[in-house]
Amino acid sequence: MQSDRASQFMEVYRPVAQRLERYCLMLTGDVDDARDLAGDTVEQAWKGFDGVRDRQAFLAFLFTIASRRWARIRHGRRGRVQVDEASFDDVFDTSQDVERQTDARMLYEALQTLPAEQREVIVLSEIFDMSARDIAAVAGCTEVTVRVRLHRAKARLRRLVGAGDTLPAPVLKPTPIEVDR
Amino acid sequence: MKLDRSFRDLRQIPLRTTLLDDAAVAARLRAGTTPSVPVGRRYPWLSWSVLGAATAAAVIVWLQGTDGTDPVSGGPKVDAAASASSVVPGDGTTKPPAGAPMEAIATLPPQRRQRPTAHGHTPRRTAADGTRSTDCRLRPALSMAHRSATDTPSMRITEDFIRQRAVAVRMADAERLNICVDDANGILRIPYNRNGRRECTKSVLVVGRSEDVRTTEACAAMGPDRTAPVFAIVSHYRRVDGMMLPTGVQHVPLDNTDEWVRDTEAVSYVGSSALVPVQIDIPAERGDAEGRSARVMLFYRATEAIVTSLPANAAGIVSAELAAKRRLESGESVDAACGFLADRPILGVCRTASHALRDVRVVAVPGRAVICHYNLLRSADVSIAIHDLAGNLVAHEGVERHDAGAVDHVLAANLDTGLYRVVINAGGDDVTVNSMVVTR
Repeated sequence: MQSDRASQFMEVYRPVAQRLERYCLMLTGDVDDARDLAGDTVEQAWKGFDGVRDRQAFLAFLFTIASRRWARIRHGRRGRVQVDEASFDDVFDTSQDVERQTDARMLYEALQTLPAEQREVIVLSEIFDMSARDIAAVAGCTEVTVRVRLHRAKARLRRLVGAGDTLPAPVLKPTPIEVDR
Repeated sequence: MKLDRSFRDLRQIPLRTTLLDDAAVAARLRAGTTPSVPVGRRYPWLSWSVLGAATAAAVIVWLQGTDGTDPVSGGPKVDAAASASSVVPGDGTTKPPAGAPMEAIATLPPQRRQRPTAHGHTPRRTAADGTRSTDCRLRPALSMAHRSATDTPSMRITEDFIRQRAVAVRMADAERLNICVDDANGILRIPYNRNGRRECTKSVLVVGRSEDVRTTEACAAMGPDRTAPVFAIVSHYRRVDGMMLPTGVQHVPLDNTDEWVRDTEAVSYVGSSALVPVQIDIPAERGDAEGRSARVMLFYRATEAIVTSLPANAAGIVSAELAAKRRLESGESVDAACGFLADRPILGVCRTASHALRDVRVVAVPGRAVICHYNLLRSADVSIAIHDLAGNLVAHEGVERHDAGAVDHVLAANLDTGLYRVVINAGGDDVTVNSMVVTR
């Protein structure tokens, strides 16, 4: 019985495991913290697995757990623990595809300087391609807040990395409209 | 620079490491299956996560009367079984006998004490060795142990000493000594009433994770009426191989007044090894029903954590650990599992990275060799030195050139049972594995 449940869990977890890990790394900026966060997230997801009805939304479920857990950890620390954030080389495999790393490295370093809320929103939007509504659900805020954070994050990133593009701000994937047929 | 393109690149560059392998996920699923401690609504932070049932192997209580016996330097040997069944009457003082192990550690000079801030919080900072200590009262383990060992030759903690004096904790022993051991794993839980308050008139030994168990809050949780005296709280942890392992303990004054919240002091052993000894003296007035004193040594061992985070090629040690874990899970007693582990070499683990080294793991094969496994990030000259806790060089490997990649560096060393420190120098950077425990 328990092993069936575990195998069901692993079946939906395995395909999204890497994305969860990438999210944890981008969120925490520290490999050890990310490992702890991913582990806690898996544990929590396992406990609430029976309540997951839409397996397609499992990744968002994991992101939500991770986001809230990380917020709690940050709140618990409140400047009491100094964290040396991991460098680009600590997080990413830099042995291949060297030419695309220069800009990505600058961007990663700029991301580390963003406030946690802005970083979370822009990571979910730009790296995980999530809609504003989904981001709002994960981050536990309104869509308007998501757009504001995203706007500010992009403006700050543009200043930091000297981006030459003129992205229309705020750019978000449109929320899919559900149509009853 | 185009932001969109950079984000796309960032999305596609593979990660360097997998954060959770299958074993780690499986461990988390097991932990998630274990019911949490019901604590009531008042202290929700007390719903501690469970490190794993294997931590039952962690607790070894050493019982010894404070009769002046020196267990290391020539004192009469005490049979473990005998010490388990009887507590030698002591003189009722809390001070350990002269020359006893860890005496110097247990009595820090006043200037080493640091008090909490006015708000009752302990100031936090990054420790001198670069690790993120959660409590600045903790000093690096080695410097303390080293200093103590230098001051008192008999301070050296040997496996022989541990074996002679160690017995597995049993509920009956704890009952007899009037101790509750609460390690957040349910070994011996302190009961809560329906208001979520602990109701326990025994002395309490709390072991918990610093993230979850904040020292002062844990103390406060004992109830404003202080019905449960607290001996010590293991509340300082260091991240070792991705897991938080206990590295320190706070003694709490036994008079059970408000003062202890503000005036706690770190007085016990602080170590970063997988085995963390913690010594607590119980005076006669807090001892058993017959007023006998005792000394308790708690050996905390996060077997589960080590097993799940080590690669399978760690020179066979994992199989030994796994075997011990299986024995525990199959219902074998803690005595048997500990005895089994005591016959195996125990490794030191260190994730402290230098510019050249990562993922250092050290495995000792007693009497024969030390195997240092590490990832070399670039070609470098590597040398290895092994010191005992007194700082004496006991084994040394000269400079050897290694290419980048995983390296299994075998160093012939006839190590006796005891604690050692391994220093690996790669390209000018030192990485130290503190307190490697070697057992036969």
